[in-house]
Amino acid sequence: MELNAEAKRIMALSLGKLYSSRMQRGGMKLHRSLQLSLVMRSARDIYFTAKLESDAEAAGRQPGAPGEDEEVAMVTEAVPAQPAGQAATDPQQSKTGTEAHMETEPSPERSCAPAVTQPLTEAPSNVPAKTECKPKPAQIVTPGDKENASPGSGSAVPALASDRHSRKRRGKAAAEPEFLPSKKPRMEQRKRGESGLQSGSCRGGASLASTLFRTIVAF
Amino acid sequence: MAGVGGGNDLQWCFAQVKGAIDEDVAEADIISTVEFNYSGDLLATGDKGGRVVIFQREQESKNHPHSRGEYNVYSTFQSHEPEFDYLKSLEIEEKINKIRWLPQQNAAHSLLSTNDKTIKLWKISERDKKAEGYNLKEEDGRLRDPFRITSLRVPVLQPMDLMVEASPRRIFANAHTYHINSISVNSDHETYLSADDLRINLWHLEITDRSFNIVDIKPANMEELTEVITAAECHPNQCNVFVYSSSKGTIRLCDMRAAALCDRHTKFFEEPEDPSSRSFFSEIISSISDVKFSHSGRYMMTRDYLSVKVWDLNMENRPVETYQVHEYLRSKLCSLYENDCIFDKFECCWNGTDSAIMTGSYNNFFRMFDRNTRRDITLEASRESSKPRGILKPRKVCTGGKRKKDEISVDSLDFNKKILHTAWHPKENVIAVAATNNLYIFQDKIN
Repeated sequence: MELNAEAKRIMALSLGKLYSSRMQRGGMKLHRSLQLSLVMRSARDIYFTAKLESDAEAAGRQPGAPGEDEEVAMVTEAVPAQPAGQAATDPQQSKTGTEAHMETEPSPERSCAPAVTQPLTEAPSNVPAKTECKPKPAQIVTPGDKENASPGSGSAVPALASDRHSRKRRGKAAAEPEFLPSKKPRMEQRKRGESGLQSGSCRGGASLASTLFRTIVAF
Repeated sequence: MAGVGGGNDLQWCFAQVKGAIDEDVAEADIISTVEFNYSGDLLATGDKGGRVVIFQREQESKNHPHSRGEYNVYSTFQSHEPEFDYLKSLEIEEKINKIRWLPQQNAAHSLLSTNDKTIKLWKISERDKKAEGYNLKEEDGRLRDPFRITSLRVPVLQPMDLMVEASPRRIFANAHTYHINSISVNSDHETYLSADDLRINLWHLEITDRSFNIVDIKPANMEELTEVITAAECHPNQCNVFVYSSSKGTIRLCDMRAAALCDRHTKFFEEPEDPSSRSFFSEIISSISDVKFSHSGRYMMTRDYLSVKVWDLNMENRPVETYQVHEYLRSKLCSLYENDCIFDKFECCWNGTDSAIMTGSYNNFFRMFDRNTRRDITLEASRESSKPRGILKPRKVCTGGKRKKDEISVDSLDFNKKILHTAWHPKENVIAVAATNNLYIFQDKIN
């Protein structure tokens, strides 16, 4: 669906801008970072809205759509939690949903594309949905899916992903092909799982996302 | 032709342009702020390289009693230098964000200039006499041999070539964690405010080692941050009142008599959002980039990405006037997001009588709106239309369908040529428009 593709593209674009703003002279501008995160949140909302509809149909057809959760993982946490009732009406729940993992969103494009196009062709492509629908990611993503889901390989920010790995496991070459499920992410997320997350499965991506978010606000 | 700015016969014509003609613009030369002083005789510009250039208007010549004097360079100085914050490993840009003139109290002129972190008070004074005939030193400054001095004389003041000196008299530093976006001199002529993304400080012009924090919107948990301060201004005649605008498109008016910390506003101005125009970028384009009180103090004007709004201070729930600056960009927001133009911060200004307002756009276009006749005009600041006293031809952007002759289509607009900073002479129809590294001065044609 075009809207979904557009939302993904905008999220990728926003991430790129966020990272390049760190290199700017004068340091990161708070206002700019906030605006970028707002755009990402809008894109995420739209993405979830469309996904909600598509997954409702996909659920009848196949048990969970693995690849799609990953994209939203990093961006959702990259957005400041909004107490004023935006998509994160239930921050706890949305965190759960974002746990799906992973790196960043262009990643699972190849794995997710086939899964996405089928159900989404039936989904209505209304833009107005985004204004009224508060996405509930927790409903979409079940723990079972995350176990089976594969962390994507490509990423918009490969550097950061490898930084994250290298922080935890210094000196170890990233030898494992990333598309294979491994025990590593689970151990990592168990560590970070202490921050009150409900389902503790594969959530390497959320750590990236929260790092990303801390980048925005850290001054 | 449309007469905006007072009178149906008003036409704008080119007066002067300052700056290099090179296609290759050095980033340091990009003008980042423009401001007339209270009399309009001085015009100050600040640039990204931290320099301030002040132009002074010539006295009207006796030969041409009806033509206005030209603005010529009066003083140039380096106001701010790049600095490095070692604690945060951040470079502090020397770009001048704002210049505000102080009311003139003696022969010298004073202004405040600020970069992201530090505000400086500069005194610009003229020297046209020097003392000659010192007893203890020669004319070139060398000390005289005391044994050679056999007589005593009184030094005499002799005229010399005019020298304009700028000296930093006060440096107001270390009061802002975030980037300063505004400074505003209070009507009491003793204090001024400075605003960054999350805080507003009140300073006394004489005291540099402390300031009062009067607004603080930093949340306890930064992850809950939802809006930042984008601009602030003191009321032109009520020294207890100021306003600040936010990235959410709201304006808060505060009264400093109410409390020491003005976190609770006295008035809250917000226009309800039109739900049908929501998009990915609705929140970004509603962010207010500039707020200016009218000279009367009865109204204020705000600039967001696509429009200018005039608010009556007595009515909080919606603006009294809304002017579309470049509505044809609404369908291009995605491209403008990609090329970062959507983050551009346009300023706006009133004319001296508050009957007209002006703001910039892309392709070196700038727009003027007459509040009384509701007429608007689009003009261009370009070398091509810069014949001496040449009348500026109104420009039009074609929004779709057939492009008429002389119209320009939206896709042909040059988004690198943006007019962010403009200023209107406080008393006359003379305007200064900053187009990247060039400063254009236009004035009305005297009929």
